[in-house]
Amino acid sequence: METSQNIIDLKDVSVSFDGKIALSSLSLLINKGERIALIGPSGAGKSTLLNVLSLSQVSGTGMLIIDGQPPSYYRNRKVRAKKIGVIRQQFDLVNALPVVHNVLAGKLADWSLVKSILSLVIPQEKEMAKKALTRVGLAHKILEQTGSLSGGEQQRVALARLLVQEPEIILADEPVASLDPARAEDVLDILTKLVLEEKQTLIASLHSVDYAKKYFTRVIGLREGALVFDLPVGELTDRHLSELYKLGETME
Amino acid sequence: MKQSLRFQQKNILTLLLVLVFLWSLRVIDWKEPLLHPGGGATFLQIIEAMLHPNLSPEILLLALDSAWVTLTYAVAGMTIAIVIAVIFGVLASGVIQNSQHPLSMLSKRFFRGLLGFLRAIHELVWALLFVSAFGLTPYSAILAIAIPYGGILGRIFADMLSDVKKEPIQSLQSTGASKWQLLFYGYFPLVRANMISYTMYRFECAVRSSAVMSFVGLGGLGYQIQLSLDDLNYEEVWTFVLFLMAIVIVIDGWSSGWRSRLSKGSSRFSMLSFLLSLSLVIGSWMYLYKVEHASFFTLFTDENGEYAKKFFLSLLGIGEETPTFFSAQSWIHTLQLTYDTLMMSIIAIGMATIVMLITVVPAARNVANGKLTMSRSFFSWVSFLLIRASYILSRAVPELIWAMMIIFIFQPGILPGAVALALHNFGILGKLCAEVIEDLDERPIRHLSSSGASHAQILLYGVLPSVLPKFLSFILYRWEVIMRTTIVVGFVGAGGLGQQFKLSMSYFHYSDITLIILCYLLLVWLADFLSELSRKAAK
Amino acid sequence: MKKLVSFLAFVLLLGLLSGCAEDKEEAVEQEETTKQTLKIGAIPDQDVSVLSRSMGEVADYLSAETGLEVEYVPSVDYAALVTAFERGEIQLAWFGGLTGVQARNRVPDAEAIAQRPRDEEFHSVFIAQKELGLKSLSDIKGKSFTFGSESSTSGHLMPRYYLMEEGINAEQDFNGNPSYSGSHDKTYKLVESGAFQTGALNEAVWEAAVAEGKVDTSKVDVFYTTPAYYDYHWTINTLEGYDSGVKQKITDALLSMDSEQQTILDLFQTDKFIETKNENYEAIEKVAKQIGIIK
Repeated sequence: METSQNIIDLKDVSVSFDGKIALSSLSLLINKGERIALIGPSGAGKSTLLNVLSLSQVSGTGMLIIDGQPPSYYRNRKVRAKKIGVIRQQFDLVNALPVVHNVLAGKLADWSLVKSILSLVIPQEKEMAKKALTRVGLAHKILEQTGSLSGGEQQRVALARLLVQEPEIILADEPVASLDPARAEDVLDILTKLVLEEKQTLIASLHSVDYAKKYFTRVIGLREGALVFDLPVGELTDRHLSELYKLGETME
Repeated sequence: MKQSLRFQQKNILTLLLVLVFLWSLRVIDWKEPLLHPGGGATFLQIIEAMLHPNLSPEILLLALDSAWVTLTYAVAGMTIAIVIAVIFGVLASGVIQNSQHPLSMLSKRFFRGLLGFLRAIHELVWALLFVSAFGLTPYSAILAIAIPYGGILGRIFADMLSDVKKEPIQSLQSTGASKWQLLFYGYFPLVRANMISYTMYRFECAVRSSAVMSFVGLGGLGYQIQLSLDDLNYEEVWTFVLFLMAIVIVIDGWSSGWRSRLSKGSSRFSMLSFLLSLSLVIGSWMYLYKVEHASFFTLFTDENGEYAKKFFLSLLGIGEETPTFFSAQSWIHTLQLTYDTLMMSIIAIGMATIVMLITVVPAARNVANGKLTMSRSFFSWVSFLLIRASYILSRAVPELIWAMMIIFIFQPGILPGAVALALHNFGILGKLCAEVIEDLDERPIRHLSSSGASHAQILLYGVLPSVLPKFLSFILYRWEVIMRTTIVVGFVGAGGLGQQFKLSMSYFHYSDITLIILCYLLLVWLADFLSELSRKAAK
Repeated sequence: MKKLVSFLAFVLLLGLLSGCAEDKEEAVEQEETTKQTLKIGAIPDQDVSVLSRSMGEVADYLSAETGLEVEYVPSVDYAALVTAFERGEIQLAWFGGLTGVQARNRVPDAEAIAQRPRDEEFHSVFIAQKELGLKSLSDIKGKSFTFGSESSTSGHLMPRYYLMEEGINAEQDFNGNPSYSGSHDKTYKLVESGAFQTGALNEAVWEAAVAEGKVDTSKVDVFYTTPAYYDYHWTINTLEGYDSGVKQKITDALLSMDSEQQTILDLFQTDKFIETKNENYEAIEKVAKQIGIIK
């Protein structure tokens, strides 16, 4: 099939909440291995788009095909977990658990209930967790309480979880919004490096245009739920950006 | 405008509550003497005995032994309560039901209602019912503790589960975790710290409940207190009461230590506490099995089933010509008692509130050390210590045991019941409210104090306005608890529904019991509803 | 099935998570070896220490006479003893008139077998603080008053009956409601200590208290003694699962006590036990029905 290159195919998707439009007939084609940055002012619909793609936003109209299959195919959580992984701001982790369990949570789709409960007592497949943590540079924190880690470290633990989960597509919703610049670069560095190594597709929403330019291959500008531009990162100009962020003008 | 209306709303509510209290006092016949002719002298004897409790070795040994039994029953009861709480709490929180399923809301409601029912009935009432159904085994006491505590814990647990932060749960969902896996990797770890600290608080209460289980014939400190009271040997009574206080204080200290460390993450203390609670649990069950020869499964024999069935059928009035609950006259009589009981609870909370309000200011640590009032004196430390000690004494002694002593002093009726309930509750209210003052913003009060305001003025202008809403909510909450307990103080002759309950149990009039429990549940639900309503109005 | 397994695993692991392993329950059940142990009980109408001494002696004596293992099971509450008797947990009980009637109503085949001579003509006494100078039962109006246990014949049922005969309503004519002290000993102690002005109790307990100097008769004394009625007696359960001769053996053992068992008889304040039968207590039952204790 010719769609084998298109891992995500979005056609005419509209979503509204209480009559307010969040996405208005948006269409997108995304190829395997792309690293896409979603930018735009607050309320532009970036999070809604990511929720549509992660199949957690189910109401709405239009068509979505992920890797040649309709959303209903991914109703099975195990199939979905192998295809799509999600990372958000730093509140993703269960602070009361040691790091190792938060990482191994990426394996839950594969584990039976008994094995997953047993793992809380005696960590199962600990080697895998260790390997993942080594790749994000946190191997020494494996037994620490997650809540005692800094914000940047917590995001790296979330990355290690994604490594264990091994999805084909990673959706990142403001992954560095709550971090200071140095930590943010650190996390994005690791994220994009891992995506490259694992040949994954990455779609991330960002506040910062600089990060988009530095780490991504394609930039999509959203405003009021509609597409403003969709360009390879090289073609992005200041004019595009001022168009995207200009104040006081509505786009009916 | 709206704000001033809200401000008025609060004042109107306060005024209303005060009026209700004054009105409730009408029930007591003030023209008759309130004390027995010899009540005053008996009171002095009891107080005098407090100053020199019986500390002879054999009594101490006996107290130690009984304290262990009391502790064992409390621990065993809490173990089962936790199992009930976790299972029903999870079901009542709705976290494992499929939210799209049409029945999920219904099942959530059902389990919430079930937990509400479990906690509505006081543990001693359960104990009396279980002794009639299962006989005098330790499990009658243990189950009697387990059921209401399971209901309370389960309710709180369900609330905690449905209030967890949503982000980690969503994130786990995206890794493909099932509902059950979410429970173990998300919900349980997220609520663990809060759950432990609440359970520890309840454990302290369970020790007191366990002590009064003696009333239905099951050993422990309460039994010794009862025996000593039967002999009017007040010196011994105080020895056992002191032991009870000691257990409560130790658990209180332990749980607040554990709580403060839980919030800071894991530590050696938490680990030790965990191991200690584990060994307490194992030790208690071993003791029950080995020493008391009480195996849990002997409860479920055919024979026991027969007796339990017979008992529950007679509760339903089956085999009786006219079950009590079909007789209008019995309804009128029981509703009269219900009304008395309601009045008893209002008088009780009113008295507890008055004593609390008088004592609470000097009982706050920041008043005692002068931080709040800018005036430090030796006297304020003395009064702080004395009042705090009285709070501990007040809440360590269960209502029932207060009632057993009080009926020697007051004329039978609802007043001794109300006094006993007030005696137990002013300490709890005092502690809770003193903590509110300790958390107060100190600056405005220091200002008042430096401008020369007296203690009373500080109370009126500085403290009361800012703490009143919280006080009100504590008072209303304690009123709900008192409502549940009114029936218990009645058992020892302090009037109301409880006294009738005890008489009907003694006469084996089981369909009377059903009617009384119906009226009792009515009261409990009424209290919950009214207090919820007033709390909303006070917000 | 899968759900069940998950559920079981869940319950099993709860312990580990919350720190509450409930592992003692599964322990192997011990074989009941108590089949031929005879359990005896008594209504707790007096000081517990006295009661456990006398009943312990009775247990030893019956054990020697019948060859069975006999154990005394204490109980805190009259009703609890009746319930235990009904459940077959007690085979032989020392009941009062009312509790005996209650017990035999619940176990129709149970039999009253023995009593003390004085129980054929038992009395209650009404006591009062001496300084009040009460002369007759009607003087009690307007005083504070306590019964014994609400299930007691001599501490509640019969005193209430004779008050009624005298035209005194216990709920209205006292100073405040009457109290239920719980036991005979407690009744005189409460009156002596001043907590109550008057009270009613078992004549035998009163006499023993006076004889042993446990009560100060210069402070409190009897001002009225009721007419006679049947009271305390031994009632034997159906004894299912016991040899057929056991019931007779126990009856004989009780009836044949004599000066050799003087210590026991002293504790019961008697010189022998004599026969009795269920019909003797019909009058008690009638009074109990009239007062509304038995429906």
